[in-house]
Amino acid sequence: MSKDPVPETPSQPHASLVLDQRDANEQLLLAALRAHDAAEEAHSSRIFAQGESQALRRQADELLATAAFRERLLGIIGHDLRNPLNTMVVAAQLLESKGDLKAQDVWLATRIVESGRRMERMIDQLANFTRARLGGGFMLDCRPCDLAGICRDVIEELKLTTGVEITLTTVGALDGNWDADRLAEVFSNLIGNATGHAAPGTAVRVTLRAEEPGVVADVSNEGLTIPLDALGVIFSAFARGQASARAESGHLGLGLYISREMALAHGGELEVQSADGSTTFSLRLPKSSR
Amino acid sequence: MCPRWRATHSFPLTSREEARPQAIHPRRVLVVEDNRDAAELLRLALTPGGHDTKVTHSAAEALALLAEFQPEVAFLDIAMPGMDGIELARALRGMPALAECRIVAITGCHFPAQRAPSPPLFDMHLVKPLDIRQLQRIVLSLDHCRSDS
Repeated sequence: MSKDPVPETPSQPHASLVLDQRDANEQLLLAALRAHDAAEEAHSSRIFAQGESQALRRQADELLATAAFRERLLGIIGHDLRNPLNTMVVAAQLLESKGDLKAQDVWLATRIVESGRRMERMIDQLANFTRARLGGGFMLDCRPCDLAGICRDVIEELKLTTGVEITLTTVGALDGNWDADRLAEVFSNLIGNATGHAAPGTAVRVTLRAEEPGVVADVSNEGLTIPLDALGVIFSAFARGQASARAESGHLGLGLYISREMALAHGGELEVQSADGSTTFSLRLPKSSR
Repeated sequence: MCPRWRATHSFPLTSREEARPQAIHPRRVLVVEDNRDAAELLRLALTPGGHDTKVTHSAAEALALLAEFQPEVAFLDIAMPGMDGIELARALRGMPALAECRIVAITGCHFPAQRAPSPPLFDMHLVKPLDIRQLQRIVLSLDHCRSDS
């Protein structure tokens, strides 16, 4: 069989077929290269995405760890410390009230109770500080209440433990929607501080007045002027000076920090002025906290 | 510093003077507290009033006791393993025989959100460390509560 002579005319298409084939190969190769690149790209972006999601996960873990840490710490402060303290204080109270103890033994039992109460105040402060500092914040339980009533109760309680005179002046309507317990803590702190720093023979003055858009409470005492550098950090945590004074008073140097945080949580403010031997803390509160 | 006794609800407590026992009226008191020291101290604190005080260490124990003992006031620790004080209070509130019972929560924390739910579940909340005079006053003031309602 003789081969058919290669026809003239089809040589063009044949050549072009070869060319096409080459072209196609090339295209294919390019496509494969592109696919490879794309795959590379996809791979690396997946790696990147993995990295990103790992970073996000890490952040989430850290947040969770903080929250878990906070709750754990609050658990320790709330229950683990309070249970033995409860045993101590209640047992000492029972001793105190037994009736057949020598005067000196009653005195000893009372020391245990008093110290327990001081420790309780420190635990309260630590718990509040943990809430304020580690997030979560103060959960306010706001209800209609009267600032004068809150203040009067606090003053009555403080009068049991201080010989310093405390005067209360009220002007205008002092009702609002606040967390009465929290504000009682703020006043207890401010007025307690004021009686602690009042010059002998002077009175602590508490003035409550209605002032748009809410109320203003001033707590003033006569005594040493607070130096400027101390004023600047007076609301910082652990700002208060001598460790001995702290231990003695049952305060951790957190009172003013916590008081200010509580004022802020209410949408209010707490400020201080000290000049010419007179110091005044001013608490401003809107009528209704948010 | 904070006010020592913060009742979240106005449990009609008498003043110290009124509460001073003229003639002691013994009451049926239930204490549910898993911390054994704390439970025993509560019993001792209420003994001078001559109250019939039953102490249990878990909600289950308390529920078992209720068939034969209907307290007039119950002190419930909130944080207890198993059924906690809040669940137990709900169970007590569901019992017609205890319709008159005053329920007092005892907690280890003073944050509003962690306080036990307010009335009608609990008539009052106490925060540890407790004050025994406060406990005694609560039991003594039951008469006044009754006449109020």
